[in-house]
Formats: sequence, C-alpha cells, structure tokens
Amino acid sequence: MSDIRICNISYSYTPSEKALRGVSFCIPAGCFCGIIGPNGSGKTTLLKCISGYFTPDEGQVLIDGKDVACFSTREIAKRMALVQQHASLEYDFTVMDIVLTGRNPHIKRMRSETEADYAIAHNALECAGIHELKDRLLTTLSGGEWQMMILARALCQQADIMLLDEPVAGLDIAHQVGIMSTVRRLAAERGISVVCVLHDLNLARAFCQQIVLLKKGMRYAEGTPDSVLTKSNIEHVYGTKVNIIEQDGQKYILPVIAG
Amino acid sequence: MKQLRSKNTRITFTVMLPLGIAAFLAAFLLGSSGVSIGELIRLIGGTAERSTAIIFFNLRLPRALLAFVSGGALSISGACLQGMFKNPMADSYVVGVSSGAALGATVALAFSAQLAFLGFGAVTILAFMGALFAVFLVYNLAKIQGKVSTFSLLLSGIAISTLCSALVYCIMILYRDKMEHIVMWTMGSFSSPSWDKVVVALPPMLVASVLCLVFAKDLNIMLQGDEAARHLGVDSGKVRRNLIVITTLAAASAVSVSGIIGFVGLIIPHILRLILGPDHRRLLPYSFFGGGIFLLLADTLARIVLDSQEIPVGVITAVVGVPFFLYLLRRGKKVAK
Repeated sequence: MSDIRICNISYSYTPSEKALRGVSFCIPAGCFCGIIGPNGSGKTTLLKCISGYFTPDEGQVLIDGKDVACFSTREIAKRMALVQQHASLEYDFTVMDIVLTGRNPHIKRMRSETEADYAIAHNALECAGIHELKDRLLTTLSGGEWQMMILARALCQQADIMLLDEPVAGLDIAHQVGIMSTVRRLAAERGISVVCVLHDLNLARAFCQQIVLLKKGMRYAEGTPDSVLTKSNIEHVYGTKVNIIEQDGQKYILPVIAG
Repeated sequence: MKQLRSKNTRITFTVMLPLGIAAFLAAFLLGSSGVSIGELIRLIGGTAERSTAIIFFNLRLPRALLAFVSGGALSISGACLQGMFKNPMADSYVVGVSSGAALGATVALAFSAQLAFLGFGAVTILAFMGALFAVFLVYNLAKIQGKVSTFSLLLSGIAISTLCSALVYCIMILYRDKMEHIVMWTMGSFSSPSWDKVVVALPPMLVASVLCLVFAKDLNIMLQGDEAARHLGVDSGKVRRNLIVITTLAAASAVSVSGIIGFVGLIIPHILRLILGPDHRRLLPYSFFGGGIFLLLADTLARIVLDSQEIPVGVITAVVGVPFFLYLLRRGKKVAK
C-alpha cells in the first residue's frame, strides 16, 4: 500500500509556457484517483511527473514520503506499473512474452524466468480474463484484447501503484467498462493505488473514488466525484453546456448539443 | 507459434553447425594455391610441406578467422541497432562508422601517411579512429538536453555520413592517382590478412559481441517504448548509450581491418528474424554465427570466382545476398497474410 503526495509541482516544455502550475494533492493508499480535464490541460504531463519520467521544474512527488526523483529505474518498476493508451507493436511476440516482461524488475540480469515467474504470469492472465490468448501473436490482437494484455503485464509486475494513461481511449463500450471494472476490482483486492487519466466523465464518475480536475495546468477542483463533477465546474472548465441526468440512482453527464 | 519457433530454432541450429564447418573447410581448401584435404590432415599431424604450412597458417587461417568474426560482429551489431532504434534500416553504418572509417582511410591513402602502431599501417589506424570520431560526433550532435532520440540520432548520422562522403570525394578529386586505392578500400576486402590484424581486431570484436548478449532482454523490452520500458525496469537511454559504444567498437574494428563491407549487418539479422522471431535472446547469438558463415562464404567466393584477380567481398555480399534477402522478404510477407 502506497500513498502519493504531489507537492506544488510545475513543469514546462518550453520556457514561455507552463504545462503544470503549482499542482498539489494527495492520493491515499489504495485509492482509485481519476485525473480529468480538457485536451492540453496537463493530465498526461501530471501523470509523467508522478511516474518520475519528467522531473518537475519546481515541487516534488513523494511516494510513501520518498521523492520519486531518487528512485532507481528498477525501484520505479517494482513500485509503479504503467498502462498506456493503446499503441500497436509490429513484432511477432506472443501475449505471454509481453506479460512475462512484467517480471523483469524482479529478475537479475542474464537470468531467465523461473517457474514462479511463469505461475505469476499465468495468474495475471487469468485475473485479466484472457488466459486463452496467451499464445496469440501481438499482430492478431484487437484493441480491447491488447489493453487487457497490458493490464495483465501490469499485474504481473506486482506493483502497488498502477498508473493508467487513457487506458480505454478508442475502445468499444464493452471493453471500456470491462477494463475499468477489472482495474477497480483488482485494485480493491490487492490494495493497489490507481492514478488514471480519463477523458470520459461518466467513466470517471462511475469508477473513481477521488477526482482531480485540471484546467490550463492548474488544479481546478479535487475531491469526490459528486463534489467535482458539478454542472458549473464542467461548464466552466470545458466551456460547453451539459445536463446532469439521474437514472436508477446513477448520475450521467450529457453535453447539450445545439440544433 | 511457440512450437513452430522452437522447431525453427532447432532446424536453424542443425543447418548452421555443418554449414559453418563447411564454410571453414571451403575457405581452407579452395583457391588458386590450393591446399588439399590430404594436406590439411597432414598439416594437423604436423607432417605437411613447409610451403603448404605457410599458405595455411599465414594466409588461409587468419583470413578465415577475420572474415568469420567480422561477419559475426557486423551482424550482431546490426541486430542490436535495429532493435534499439526499432528501425529495420539501422546498422552500425547509419550512425557513421563506415563513412568515418572511409574518411580516415582516405586521408591515410591520399597523403601516404607514415604512421605505424603495433605493426599496423596508417590506413587501419586512421580508419578506426575515423569511425570512432564520426560516431562520437553523431552521438553528441543528436543529444538534446541530455537525451538522445532515435530520430535525431539517425538524422545526424545521415548528415555526418554525407559530410564525410563529400570530403572523401573531394580528396579523391585532388589526389586522382590514389583514387583506385581509395575506391578498392571502400569496397571492402580481406585480401591482406595477417596475424597482427587477428590479434588486434579479434578480441574487441568478440568481447563486443558477447557484451551485446547481456542486453538481449533489455532490447526485447525496449521495443515496447521507452516509457513502458522504464516501468519494466529498463533505462532505455542507458542501454542505448552502452550499445552504441559496444557496437561501434565491434564495427570499427571490423571496418578498420577489412574496409567497408555492407549488407551483412542488415540482411543476416532480418533473415534470422523472419525465421526465429523477434526475441533478441535467440536472435543475437544466431546473428553472430549467421553473419560469420555468410561473410566467410562470400570471402571464399570473392577469392575464387575470377581466375585473374580477387573481387571485393562487398560486391559479393551484395550480388549474392540481396536477391536472396528480397526473396525471403516477399515470401515472409505472403506467409504473414
């Protein structure tokens, strides 16, 4: 179980414009935290700062009180798993090959995977519900199957933090819900802290316990889904009118489409 | 697929082993001043004639060793670079090894440089230094804010190569009488073998090839992208830096003793990737032996195909290797569909 503290971080790609401006918040251990905001608001930049891939110009990210910048690559890999947006890989590896790479941080250089590593990989495939895909080639996978494989790779890592960068972008609704449900179930079972960049506000409301809303690199709002995803917050940040409707006790955000 | 892969690996092994032995035998036995099988056996027994022993020990054996290990080193380097750049066009030559070496050798030939070190001529020394300097330049030009991207590395490789080639042409025009020497050198050849070359060039090529194997698993993981690799415990920047040093050492050693022999580093890893799949733990060792066998056979052909004179081995590798490669490439595509 790991808690993450983001302390006043700023980051800029070019000297003239800051992508992140003094963002602070805490993610308690085992929490499912969503990061939302318009395109270009700094969501992915924030995630890359949390993972230590970018070093903030100011401020720091603390994991269990330790600065991420001080972690070695191997430590990073043992603590944090990453699930990126779907991108294909034109090499003929099998699904099992890729899932097994999740064991790499735990294996010494020049050593092969042991029986135990294989057992963990099989278990990860089963948890993701794709054990029957294990011998399939990457080049034959659909987008949804691919993301499930990456999820299995992340589980195989046995890290207690999972970072997801738009994990369901471009997938059909069944896979969107399937992947998000799987992440939430496994995170709860294993006490994994999740930080997930999302575009879909309804998915964010349904799956996250905590939501951070960014606007132009600044934290606009932070808190529970109900407190953050209000009509006025969304209209203010996204600049578009929305209706919030309620059905079967669930709230849904719908954009108002003119004409 | 997994079964097919391991079956292909077994087949490749059972083909490569006798092929390798045959390649060495052919290199020893064939040629104008031939050594027959009987003499070869007597040679091992130590009862051969002195002239045969001289041909074998001073010419055939060092030449075969140089050709085999150079082929292996160029091929394993190419396999590593293609993996780490995720680019099928990459080999040691795109980061400047060949053009830097060519410029060094050209300077030595044109100015008839009187430089010697450990019994080596100026051409070998300047070619080696030229290769290292060119890669050093390419690498540092590509470094932006401490990071080296694949794009910037390949582009600065092309830029520096073009510049070196231009300088080579410029020197050739100014020193027309040396033009033939320069052209012959750049086409690559093992026609002047010596034990000095073996002693100095073989160890770095062998050490570098073994060091490549250390990074085989990292290369597999790096195919998933730098950021993903980082979360799987692989520092892609560091691995890339290490591999550039290692493969440059291997390729520069090969080039400095043999001139520029193209295609080996491109073709052999590709062929083996089609057969064995993309896992570098399998691909790298087989690339070494495949490249070695291929270059040894090509060099033997280069020696015997014309009665009157030798053909540059670079010509043979292209003429023989390219059609075979294209055939496999097209067949591989059909199978994939």
